Amino acid sequence: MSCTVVAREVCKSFVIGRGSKRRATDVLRGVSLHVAAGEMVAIVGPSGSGKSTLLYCLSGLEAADAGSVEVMGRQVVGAGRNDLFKTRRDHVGFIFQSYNLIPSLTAGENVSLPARLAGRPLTAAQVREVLAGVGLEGREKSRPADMSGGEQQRVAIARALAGGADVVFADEPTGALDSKNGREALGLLRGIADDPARSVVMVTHDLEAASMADRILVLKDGRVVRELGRSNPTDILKALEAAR
Amino acid sequence: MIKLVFCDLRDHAATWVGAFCVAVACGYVGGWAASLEETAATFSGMRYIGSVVLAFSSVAAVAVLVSASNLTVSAQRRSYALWRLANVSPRRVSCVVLAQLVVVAVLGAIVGTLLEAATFVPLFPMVFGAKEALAQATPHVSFSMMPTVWLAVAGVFFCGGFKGARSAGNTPPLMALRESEPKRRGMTCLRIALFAVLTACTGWTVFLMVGAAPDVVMNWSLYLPILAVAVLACISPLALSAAMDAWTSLVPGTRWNAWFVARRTARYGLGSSTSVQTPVMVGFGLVAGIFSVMGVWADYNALHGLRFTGLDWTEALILFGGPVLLCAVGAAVSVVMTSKSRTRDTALLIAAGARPETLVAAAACEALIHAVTATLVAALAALASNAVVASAVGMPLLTGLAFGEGLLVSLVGFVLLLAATLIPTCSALRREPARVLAVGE
Repeated sequence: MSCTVVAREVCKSFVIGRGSKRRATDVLRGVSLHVAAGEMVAIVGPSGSGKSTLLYCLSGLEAADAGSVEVMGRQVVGAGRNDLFKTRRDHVGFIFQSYNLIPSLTAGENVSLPARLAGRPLTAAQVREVLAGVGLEGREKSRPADMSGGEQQRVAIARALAGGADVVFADEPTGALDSKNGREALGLLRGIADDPARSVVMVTHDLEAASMADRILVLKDGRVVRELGRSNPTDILKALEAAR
Repeated sequence: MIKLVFCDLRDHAATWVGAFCVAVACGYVGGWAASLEETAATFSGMRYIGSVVLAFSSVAAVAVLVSASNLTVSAQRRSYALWRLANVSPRRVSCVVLAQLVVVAVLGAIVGTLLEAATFVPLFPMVFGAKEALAQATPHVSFSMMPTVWLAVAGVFFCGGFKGARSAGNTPPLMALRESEPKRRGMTCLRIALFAVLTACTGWTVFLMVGAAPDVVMNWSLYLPILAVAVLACISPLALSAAMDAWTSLVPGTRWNAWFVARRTARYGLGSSTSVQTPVMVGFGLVAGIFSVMGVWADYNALHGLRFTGLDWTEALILFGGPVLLCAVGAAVSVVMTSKSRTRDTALLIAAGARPETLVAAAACEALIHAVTATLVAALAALASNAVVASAVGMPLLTGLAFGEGLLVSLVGFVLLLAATLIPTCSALRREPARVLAVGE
């Protein structure tokens, strides 16, 4: 079984406050994990436990202070700007709670942007096909501002797919969606993870969403305190309450 | 309401400082015009110089003030949306926005006129000392006209920001929070009315010039570039966007990612783009237009064996000092105004896999797009003025066309716009994308 992401003893702290009230807060305190190809991993935990920070450190969007993170065999911690850019470009897709589509681009242009930046521009037919795959046939020319939240999130998922990402990191992908759109978005993410070459790492508060993952990591105070296999929402809730 | 006006101004001082600077510049130029009139009251040789400064600067002043007020209101959309969510009524939001514009305009104009009062007497000999006929004049600062200048600046700010203020009050708050940029705004009724009036004035001026004696043509010819630029400034949302779409499509974006990103960004933020391009357009149009008209006269006089000295230092300063100062301040203000949204856009593109070098190149391309678009549109005004004057005196249509000085203004505009796009992009590249893109930031 090959691993797409391997993290060892990842630490991250932030300095908060000003002047004499300035102090460092440890957000991640030696997190280790691995994600196998074809696997969907959910990271759950109380607010402030460091879930999103962990996701950002794993994807290279945020620099970890210590430890090691390998994405598709490439070291992310301490990597230079260009190496980080190449890792993100070639292997990583990101889905945010607030969609984060580029407002000046149409849906089709948003979808094709990562591939274009990677020097592998998609044809119009390919863009149409990817958008159709997420249920957005004929919406290539729509701008993000003209789309609903669910549609924007589907464009974000299509963008991650079209870029050919090996690992998709999703930060609260259903957080801003209603239950129907949330379920559809999760179905699409599950579809990505069902590809034996790809994996999904998802941070969520949504127990239904977490129950779709192959593995669930419970984070508390910057540490992984529990690991569950595929579980139903009730078991995940129990694990979360035990962690509080 | 008064508390809301001043608290918001204090909290968003960084946004309002741009509008304030434009008001200071307008107050300063207006103060000079007033003081020149005051000086002319005791020295008849100075008569009309204040009016000339006012006539040449007014187009630039109106264009820059309207741009600054629109940019400011646009930058404050999120803040106004939050007021609406806190149950402040749409009418009150509009009133507060207009009150803020007037307060900033009056404060800026007061500072500008005070600055002028402090510098008019020492600078006067530097401007007029070289001109023998005017060197004897004793400069007098006009304090009595200062309130008129303040009111004029406030009035233009008020009219320029009126549409934006209404839109700030009427836009549904959630839409304003969701969309980082307001929807494309085409021609407003005010713009259409101004366009009609100015086109009629321009047509009348052309009518007076065609077939008239050369001295009559000469009297009117210098006003033609001003009118032509003013007409273009009225239809700038249409003219600038059409020109930008047309010439940027000639460069294939499929080959160059930086160009693709720059073109999309410039076209998307049309409201901001128009505000950024207008000062450069006005600056180039006035300078190139007037120098081209002077070129026609130089060629005409040479052809008829007459002596023609062109513009000396004092005349150039009287004609162009105000507009160039206002356009430079207007372009520089865009540095402050448009930098906010770049942090997020840069983080989004980095997260999508863009190279930092691509983003820096895109920022430079965007500045180039703005400067070239403004120059191309303004070149029409210069060409038209040149053609009318040349044909009125029976010279070949493009005789004496002089774009060199105008291009210098465009170059300065490009450098300022480059700073406007590059500095925020480079600073955004130093920030962790994750922090910028995190929810709530």
